[in-house]
Amino acid sequence: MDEAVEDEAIVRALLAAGGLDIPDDEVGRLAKLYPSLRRSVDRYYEVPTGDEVTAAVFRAEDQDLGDER
Amino acid sequence: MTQPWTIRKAGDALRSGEATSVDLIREAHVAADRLDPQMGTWLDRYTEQSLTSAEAADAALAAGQDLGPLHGIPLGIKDILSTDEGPTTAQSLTMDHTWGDQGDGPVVARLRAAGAVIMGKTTTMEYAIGRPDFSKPFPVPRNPWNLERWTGGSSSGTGNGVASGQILGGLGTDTGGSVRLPAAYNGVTGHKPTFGLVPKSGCVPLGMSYDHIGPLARSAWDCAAMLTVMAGADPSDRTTVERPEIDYVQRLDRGLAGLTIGVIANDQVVDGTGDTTMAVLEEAVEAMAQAGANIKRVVVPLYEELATGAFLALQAEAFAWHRDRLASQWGDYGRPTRLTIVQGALINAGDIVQIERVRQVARRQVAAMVASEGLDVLVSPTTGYGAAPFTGGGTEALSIRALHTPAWNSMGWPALSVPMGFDPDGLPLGLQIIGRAFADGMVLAVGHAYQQLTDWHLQKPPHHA
Repeated sequence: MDEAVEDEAIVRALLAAGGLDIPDDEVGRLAKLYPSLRRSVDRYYEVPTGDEVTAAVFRAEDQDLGDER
Repeated sequence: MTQPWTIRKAGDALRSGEATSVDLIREAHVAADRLDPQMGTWLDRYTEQSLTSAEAADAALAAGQDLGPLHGIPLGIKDILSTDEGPTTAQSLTMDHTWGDQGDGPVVARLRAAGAVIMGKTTTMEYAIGRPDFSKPFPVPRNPWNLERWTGGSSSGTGNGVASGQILGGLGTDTGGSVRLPAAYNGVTGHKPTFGLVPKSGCVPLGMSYDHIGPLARSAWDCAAMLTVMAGADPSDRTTVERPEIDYVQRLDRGLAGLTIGVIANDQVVDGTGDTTMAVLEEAVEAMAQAGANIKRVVVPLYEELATGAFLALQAEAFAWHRDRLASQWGDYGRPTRLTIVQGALINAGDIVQIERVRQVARRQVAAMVASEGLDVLVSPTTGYGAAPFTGGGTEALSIRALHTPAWNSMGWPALSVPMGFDPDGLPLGLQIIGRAFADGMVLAVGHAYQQLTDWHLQKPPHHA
């Protein structure tokens, strides 16, 4: 499949998954942006993060929820 | 030329009897009547309420009840922050106006309790994102240094309102630079506090883990006076952190001698900065060196990841908040706004997790670099260029690479923009001063010391009260 056509298909699918049905010209605009957006995101997988780093630090204890201390 | 009024100077005038708060508020409204039609500063002005508040401030002061530096001072509030007086529009046709029925958020309430007089709601970009949009029925904010130039965003009306002398200070919000950019482009001072220092409740969210509420005013002294009142944990925002109360004004006079300042030398900053701006930055650095600061050139680890990550993650966080509204009211959003926010739908869950994991790694590496180099603050230009024109060029200035602010939203560290000179078109340029988490006092002290050496922050634009 032509890359541009494929990008547009991906964008349409992702928008549909988000419940969005938007005009064709704006889908086209997003499809043009999509490859550079994807490249920007993919850079983050090249950074060594190790196994222990989490996106958010979750702690079970929470004073506001009435945990015992 | 007389110097413009500052919060500090106005406070002195109130206490000496040279002026009353009613005088200040009346003059501010007269200035707004004249300037606002051109400048696009206000979405709503609370004329009667502000005069009533000013009368009360004057009566309290006469009775010996002095509430501090903000007593009787006119401030503007960016219209994504809720206030008692009226609805919050977020400068959007899609905003549910009943959202603002909650009244004052904690920061506005604290300013009011400190005697500040709320003049009204200032313009923004729609939902604090996007670009100037001439297609919607809202004012387009213009730069008082040149009306054909943008103010920067998104705290646009607070920025041009302070610069043009309509208000002495005000609130902005900053998710990728929206306090510091209008501060730089309009030639005023703006502070993005440490994440968690100032509660965000009562603010329409953009990127919940990148949003900050911060002050804009003429000077670092004025911002310090505002931050002293604004700071402090609040149960309504669980991202806030309990810290000792600090009077930031009392910490301003430490000077520059013996401090170590790291000048950010990353390629992304250098390549995204015009030659004139770089020369102006070097003059600013030299002035600080002459005042006794040690200067180092440093490379910030994972800088590009921090900067780009702020934009990517804020789009995802914004999409989470806007998804249902985008689906039902797509056409009511401005085109730049909707096409920015909807990109959050194109980033998947794993991507966001990885961006946030890299953010954690980067935060540790940057903190380690700052510690190992013995830095007290970092500096860079706030932007690579002066304010862009609305039409006909300015693509370099509008490029994300020319905005040197978002990395510090990812870090959550405090960052101040102070005026440092002008470009060849006579447009202001900003110096960004960055400190470690909760070193807001140090950042403001360095800005204050620089403003004792220079008078860039006291320059009046052609369109001024």
